[in-house]
Amino acid sequence: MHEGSTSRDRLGRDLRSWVESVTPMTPESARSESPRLHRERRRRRQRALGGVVTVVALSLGVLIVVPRLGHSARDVESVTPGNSAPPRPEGCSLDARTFVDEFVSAPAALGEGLPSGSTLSLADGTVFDESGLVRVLSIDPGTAVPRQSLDALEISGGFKVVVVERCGSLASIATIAESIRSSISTAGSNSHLAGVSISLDEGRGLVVLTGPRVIADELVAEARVDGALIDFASSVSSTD
Amino acid sequence: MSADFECANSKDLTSYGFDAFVVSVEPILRAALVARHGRDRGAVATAEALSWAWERWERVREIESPIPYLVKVGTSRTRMRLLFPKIEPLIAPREHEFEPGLDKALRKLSDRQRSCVVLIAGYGLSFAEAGEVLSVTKPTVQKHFERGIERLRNELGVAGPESDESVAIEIGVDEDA
Repeated sequence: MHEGSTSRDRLGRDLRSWVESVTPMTPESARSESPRLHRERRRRRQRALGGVVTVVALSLGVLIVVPRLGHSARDVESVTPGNSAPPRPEGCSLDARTFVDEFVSAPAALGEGLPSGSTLSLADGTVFDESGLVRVLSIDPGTAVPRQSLDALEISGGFKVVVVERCGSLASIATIAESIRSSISTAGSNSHLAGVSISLDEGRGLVVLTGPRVIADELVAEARVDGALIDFASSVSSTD
Repeated sequence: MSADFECANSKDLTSYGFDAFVVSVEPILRAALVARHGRDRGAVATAEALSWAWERWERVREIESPIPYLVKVGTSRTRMRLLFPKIEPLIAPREHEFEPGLDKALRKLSDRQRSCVVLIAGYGLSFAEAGEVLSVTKPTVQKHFERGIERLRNELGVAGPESDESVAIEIGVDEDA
């Protein structure tokens, strides 16, 4: 480069040359590029949207899984049945299986939670009354919970309430989940339920409520139907 | 160059067809976008802006000053590309003769300094015209140009200007500055 006006002329030429090193657009290329650019914009938007969805899904996964890792399971110590429950000796201990058999599978428990006045005592001294449990929604008469399903869904050290519902459609499962969420909200600070999972078992729905655990800020119901996962998030306000 | 700019921004364009419009506005549009975003993104931004103009030609032909508008369109439409740098530029840069260190030196300038320097020193636009293209005021253009040209000269190791006034006069860019 040179000094004075020569250098400025040269700088100007260099700057123009720098810009013109990019192939100019012609009217024809502007017209022909238009559809391709349009397609590419759409593809970029879809990719961006996919990325956002993935990040949100991963974030939700972390929020759901991490809080559960720190909770210790507690054993069911005993159930003191109320008036409408099957008669049992006072103070008799029940394990999870017996609890399910007596309070869920029994027709007397349909549409109810723990019978009025009855309590469920845990090994650590936690006592539940009927308001602390989700109601059994409905049971198709004569339908039994498959033993293998119970075993597969068993969570070590916890108890669960299994509700069998004839529901072949996604809509009915969503209805169940919504009902459970509503029930959990109603239970309020007495709720000691850890979560709700729903799955289809050859046309029937298994609604599994797992627990106990220290009151969770968030309870999540999941419905799995043919591999599709639908998340239902619900919050329970806690005074603990 | 200044005459080209006036033609490209005059209302007479409304009587032109799209072909004449592109021929008229493309050089300054490309210069503004390449200067602002660099050659790769600038090339894509130019293509995006002119394609957008073609898709909405009936509307664009009514715009009194299309270049500033299209500069914004090109910038906006290439913003998402930053997320996906693997996408190849739509237009491959040609090999050209210019100072070997110019590309690197220009990258040291801010976007606005680079835009002002290219449009004024390279394409002979006045401060006011460059301000219109870049949607900034004339004093702002002057300030960025002066800082940019000084920095560019320093980067290139070129002898500095005698004064700001001489720069304006000798490159004949701003009669009304």
